[in-house]
This record gives sequence, C-alpha cells and structure tokens, in this order.
Amino acid sequence: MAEIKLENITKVFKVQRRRRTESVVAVDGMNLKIEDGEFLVLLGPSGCGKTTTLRIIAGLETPTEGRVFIGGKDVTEYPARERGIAMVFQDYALYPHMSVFENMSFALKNLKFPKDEIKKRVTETARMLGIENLLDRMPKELSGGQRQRVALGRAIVRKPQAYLFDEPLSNLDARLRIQMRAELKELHMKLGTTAVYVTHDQIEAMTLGDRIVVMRNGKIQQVGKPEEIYHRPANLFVANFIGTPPMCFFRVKVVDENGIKFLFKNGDTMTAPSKFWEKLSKYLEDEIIVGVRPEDIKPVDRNDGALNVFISSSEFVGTKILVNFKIGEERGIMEVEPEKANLIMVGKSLPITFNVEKLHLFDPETQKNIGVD
Amino acid sequence: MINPIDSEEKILKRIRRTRILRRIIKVFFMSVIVVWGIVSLFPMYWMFVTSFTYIGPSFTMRDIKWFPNPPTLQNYKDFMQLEAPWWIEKRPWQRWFLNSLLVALIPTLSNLIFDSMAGYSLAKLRFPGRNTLFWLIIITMMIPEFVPLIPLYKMMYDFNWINTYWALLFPGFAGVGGVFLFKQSIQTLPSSLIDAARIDGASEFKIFWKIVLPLSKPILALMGIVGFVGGWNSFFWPYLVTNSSEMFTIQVGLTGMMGAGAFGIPPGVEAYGEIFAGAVLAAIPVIVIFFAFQKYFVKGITVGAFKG
Repeated sequence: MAEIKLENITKVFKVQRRRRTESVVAVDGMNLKIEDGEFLVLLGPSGCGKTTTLRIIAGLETPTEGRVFIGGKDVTEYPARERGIAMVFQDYALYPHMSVFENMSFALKNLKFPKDEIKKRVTETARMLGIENLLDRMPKELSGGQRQRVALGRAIVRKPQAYLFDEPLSNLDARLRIQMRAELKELHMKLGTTAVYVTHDQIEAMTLGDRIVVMRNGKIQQVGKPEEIYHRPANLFVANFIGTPPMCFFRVKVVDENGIKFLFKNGDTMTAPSKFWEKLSKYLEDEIIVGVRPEDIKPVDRNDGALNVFISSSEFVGTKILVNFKIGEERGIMEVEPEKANLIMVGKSLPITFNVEKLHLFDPETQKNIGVD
Repeated sequence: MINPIDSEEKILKRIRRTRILRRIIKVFFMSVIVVWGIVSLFPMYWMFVTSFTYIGPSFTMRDIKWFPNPPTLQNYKDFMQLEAPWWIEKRPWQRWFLNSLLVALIPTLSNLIFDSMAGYSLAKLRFPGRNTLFWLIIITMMIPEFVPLIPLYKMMYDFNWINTYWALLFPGFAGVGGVFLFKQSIQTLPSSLIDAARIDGASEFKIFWKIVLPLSKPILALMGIVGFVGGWNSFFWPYLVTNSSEMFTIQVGLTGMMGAGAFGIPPGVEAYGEIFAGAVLAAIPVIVIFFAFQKYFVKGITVGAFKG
C-alpha cells in the first residue's frame, strides 16, 4: 500500500497531422497527492488527459516534465514492471491464448513466485471473486462480467501497492455495470489499497470515489469529495459536468432595488440571497450566471418573488417528472413530484421559485463560482 | 424491385426468372473453375502417369499415355540407380534431397525469427525513425527479385562463398515481405495486451515470446508454409551459386539430368521416365505440407482482413 504523488506532471504528444508535426498537451502541469488507501476518481470528458495521467502513474507513458512518486519513492524513470502497481483495462486485456488460471498467474510467474504459492494465491483470489469454477476456461468462453472479474483477479492476485482502473466498467451493459460498481466498492473496502480510477461517467465517479478530480484539457478543475463537487462546484465546467439532469444556467443582471436582486431575461426579478450581497455589490448593473440544480426548482402558487416560465415539454421518468421550461430564450429543466403533475401544462406559463440557499453564482468572464472561495 | 401495383402473379414470375438467371450464372462460374482446375492439374497428372510408364529410349509426344499400361516402378529404380552397373557415374540424389531440405528449412526458420521480431517492433514499439524504416522496407519490396541477383552473386563471389552452403542459405535469412506481413498482422493485436504484460512484470523479450508470438500463430504458419514451399521449389539461385553435384538441390539436379550426358545418362538420351520419377518424389513434400497445414494456410491469408 502506498500514497501516490504527482509533481508538475506535463505530457506533450507529438502528433503527425497533414505532414506537420503538432504538439498536443495532454496533461498540463498537474499536481496531485493520492493518500494511502484512498479511492480517487479521475473524471472528465474524453480527451481531457485522465487516461494519460493514469498511464503516467502506471509507467506506460513517460511524462515530458515532472516527477511521479509511489510510496515516497521517485519512480519517474522506473519501467512499469518495477512500480508494483496493477492495472485493469477497459477491454480487460486478458491474454486470449491463456486459461483464466494462466492469466491470473502470469504476473506471479514473472515475479518468480514458487509454484504452490502461485496456486494458493490464485485460488484464494478466484474464490473471493466467485470465479473458481472458471479457472480452466479460456477468455473467449467467458461472458463480459466474468472477463471483468478475471481482469480484477489478475490485478488482486499480485497484492500490488496500488490499483489503476481505466474505465473498467464501460464495456458492460447497464445492469451489470451497476452490480460491478457496488462489488468494486466493497472490494476496495475489504482490500484497503490505494486505487486510481478513470471514468467519464459522473455517476460512477460519485458512487465510487473518496475524492474526485475533475479534469478538462489536461488541467485539474477541482479536487474534492463527491458532495463537495456536487454542492460547491468550483466553476461553470464542473457545475455543468456533474449531475443528471444537468444544472440550469441563466444570465441575469444584478440590480439594486431595495436590496440586491437578479433581473431575468423575461423581466422578472428575484431577490438574491443575502449571504451573497457583499460579493455581488461589485457586479451591480453587470451580468452574472446563475446556476440551479433541477431538484432545487419548485413550482409555486403565484406569489412574490416567483418567476414566470413557459413550459415547453415534460417527461415522466417514474419517481418524478422532468419539466423543460424557458425563461425568455434560456432553457431550463426542473424535477417535479408526480403529485404536482396537475400544475404542469405544456404550452402554458407556470410560476416557479428557486431554493435560494442552493444557488450557484458564476462570473461570466472567469467562469469561477463567485460563492466559493 | 417490387412494384406494389404489380399483380401477385407478375411478382412470382419475376422472382422465378431471377432465380433461373442466378442458377445460370452459378453454373457458368462453376464450369470456368472446373476447366481452369483441369488445365492446371493436367501437367501434374501427366508427370504422375509418365513416372509409372515404361518409356523407351526414343520418346515423342505421341507416346503420352493416359493410363500407365502396365504400371511399372522401373523409372523410380532407374532414378535411384538401384540396378545400375558399377561403371556408370552415380548421381548423389539423396544429397540433392538433403540440400533441398536445408534450403527449405533453415532460411524459413530464420525468417520466422527475424521477420516476426522486426514486424513486432515496427508495429508496437515506439522509436525514432520507425516510419522512415518502414517506408524503406516497403520500397525494397518494389524491386523485382531478379534485379539484385548479379550484385548478390558478386558478393557471394567476394566472400568466397560460391558452391558452399553459405551462398545457398544466407541470402534468404530475412525477408522484407515477411517483415511487412508480420507488421500488419501484429498491428491488429490490441496494445492493451502488451501494456498489461508490461505491468504484469514481463520483460520486452518475454512479451514478444509469450504474448505476441503465440497470438501470431496463423501468420507464423502461413510464413512457414510459404517459406518452405518457396525454398523447396527454388531453382534459379541454387542453380547460380552451385557448380558441383554434391551442392545441387533436387530441382537443380533434375534439370541437370535433362539430356546432359551426365549423371549416368548417356549423351543424346532423353531420360524422361527417370526425371518424372524424380519430379514426383520432389513434389511429395510440398503436397503433404500443403494438405497438412491447409487450415492455417487459408487462415493466414485472411489475417489482417478480419478482426477477432
């Protein structure tokens, strides 16, 4: 078990494009400390540098700049096989010509473990994962979920310093994915080994991670616990990326009419929460972006401070109704309990209100969250 | 196309017509294949039949027999000189077969080793100048095989290798065609397998030996068969660099027996019976190998065309 530290990691790829060599910065000056035993998730859209970061930790890529430390030791120049880490790949990467047993024992054989020790470890791990009856099978005879378990087993059997996961669940169907997600979580609690997990699926990130690192264009946008990332997004990108359905954003003008208010595009106003007044005073007569999560928008009976929105469509999804609406030209979405379905009339207007305590305010220039320091 | 306005009867008629047309086309193509098969198999059949037929000293095309009547093993005995009197010059036919076997086996094995290694590094390893190197290899593939013969001969001559096994074997130790084939085939292996092996603690050579090679079995088999058959059947290069009968391959030896006044055949005698017997013996290994490995052969040809 070990902590992992990345210091100023930069990775530049040379890409040949139309006879010109272009430099693509995949990871840009990344600093990150992963605590011993922590489950850390690297989250971001494709091409954000999360997989490159993982491969740099694994030793499959050399960083252009910066140092990698595993367990306090500088391993930047170490080849992958000397870093004591295990990795699970998106396509499982099981050796197709080897049986499950051979797949799981390959690493131990390379490490020159005695035969009986190998056998003991492989059977133990296989029992833990419920695949002991598959040890003689070939990978092509296994289902997706079984292959995934073998890939996990191949990593566990080595008792590595850290596990690296590269989108390991993305090839599974939805039901199996949820099941394996829970199993992974339990497994991590049982083993307590440091784990770095790459995904573009924010739900996976929220459910699995002790901490989440949100990345974009090779740069860290925010590092924090799942609740922190959800409730206090550092900027517009994080706010937009986390949450389904996504956060709604409205451009409003900050005005002072008996207290600081937001003037929406349709002419309605809403009183800004008083805790933001001081910070908002420098934005007077300027535009800011107000973000609000769909669950924090409620339809109300007409009263003061309500916004009039135009209902454009509604979707029933079982436990709730997702209602698409418009304020002026800006679209939003809210979650309404099925009991209040009678309020929703598509094509009509509806008064709504925001849970002002949970508003997120963003500077349109810097895109930073004004409310978070 | 089915026109919804057409009556059912009309539609059925049209379906029947296309069915008949399709059958005619099928029959046509089948007959082309059959004719082509007969034409290409005929020389083999003729060689086979003639090797079992008694042929007199004067032999003309009119003496071709469709069936050996009566069949005889005399030609084979003559080829092996089993009944030849002591004063007739002996031909070292066993040595010819041995030489052919060496020419077929050794360069093929070394081709499998070197070409697969080169193909792997071009396909999966990153190093400066990789693309340039690959293009150089492609360019050398464009040169006709007879162009380098003279410089190569000169080299063998300067090395003092003429009429030695070095000259017979060494130039075939690695081939660009094989490198290209291996590269294309290995490229289709997922890189994550190699990454996984690297993380599993395998050295670069072990990755090649334990992961890449076993997964390249079809292409190894294809290269092995093509290499063996090509080596066994090769004629021009062994003919060029050998000049004593102990160094001949079977193909060169058989050619030498034609109207030579050598190898125990009197001048002016066309010993077609003996030559055909030798040719049948020379063809057996190729036929056996082809049928034994036919499965791999077809699989190997489609390697790279399909994934998974």
